[in-house]
Amino acid sequence: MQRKILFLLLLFAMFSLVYSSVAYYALSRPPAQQFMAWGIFSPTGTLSNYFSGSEANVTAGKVMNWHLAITNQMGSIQYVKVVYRLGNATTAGPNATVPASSIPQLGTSSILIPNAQTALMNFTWSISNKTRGGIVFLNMTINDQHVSPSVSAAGGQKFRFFFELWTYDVGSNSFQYGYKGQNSWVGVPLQVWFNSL
Amino acid sequence: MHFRFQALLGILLVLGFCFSGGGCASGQPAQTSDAQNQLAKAFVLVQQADMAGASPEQIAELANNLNLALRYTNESASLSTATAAEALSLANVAREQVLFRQAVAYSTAVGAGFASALLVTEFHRIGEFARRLRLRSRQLD
Repeated sequence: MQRKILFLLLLFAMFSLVYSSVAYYALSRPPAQQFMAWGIFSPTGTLSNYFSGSEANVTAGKVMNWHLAITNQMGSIQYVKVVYRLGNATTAGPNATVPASSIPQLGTSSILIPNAQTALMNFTWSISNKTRGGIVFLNMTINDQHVSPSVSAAGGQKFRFFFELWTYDVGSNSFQYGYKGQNSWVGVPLQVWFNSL
Repeated sequence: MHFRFQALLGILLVLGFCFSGGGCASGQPAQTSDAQNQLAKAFVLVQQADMAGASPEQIAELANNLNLALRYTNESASLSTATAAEALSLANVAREQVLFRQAVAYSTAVGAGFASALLVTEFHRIGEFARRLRLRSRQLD
């Protein structure tokens, strides 16, 4: 009789262990690589042809309607800030580890994006006017805000917009450049070149 | 004397303008910063609710509220606070649901373990029981 009870207990332990493992597997979230992706879309919804022509020439007063599409695959909702700056051909741009802190930012836009969703942000800009001569400075309107960047370009050629993605870090209670990867923060900057005519 | 009266009147006017919130230079950034702090706090709670297992639909609704608050940053403090409170209760509900689901799953696993062990040890009795049932039905016929 004692042997029978012992056998029953042993079987009970074994079956419980197997079924609990199945329950743990069923309750666990599937592992997935966490990332954020984004792109700048033209008014026609493409990742090219931003200037409605073959050349990246922008005349004063011409309004550009671009959209930033940001996808969140981080496993939870994210608070995202996009920082935009203006640079020229010689400016040190942002990279995978550091933002372009040497250039002042022209503005920011923030949004909360639930997990596995893509958010759209408008980026509407135009050149209000520019200085004449060899070295060109621009006065611009970006999302209804007037800005006068300190960056110039010879002959108005090879300006470029830098777009930086920052995410809110709960640990430090501040926005950090890029998104939190497996081992480090990953910067995913974007840039678009243009000439001021 | 006349100058003193004018100066006093000027100071009173400036103070009145500041207290009415009509454009005192230092008032606006403080308000915005407070709203942004509230927003960040609300976001932290929404993220906690999300990680605790709240449904994506509920999280999306809270995100919409906070995005609305972001759009009107200056007036958003109250909306952020309301969303934060909602997120907090949602996080608690989500945690309770997860705990309940885990309790049900592991209890079922242990129960099924016991039933399986019993089935294996007492399997021979099932055949005996079936034979008895068959015999009884024959006797009734």
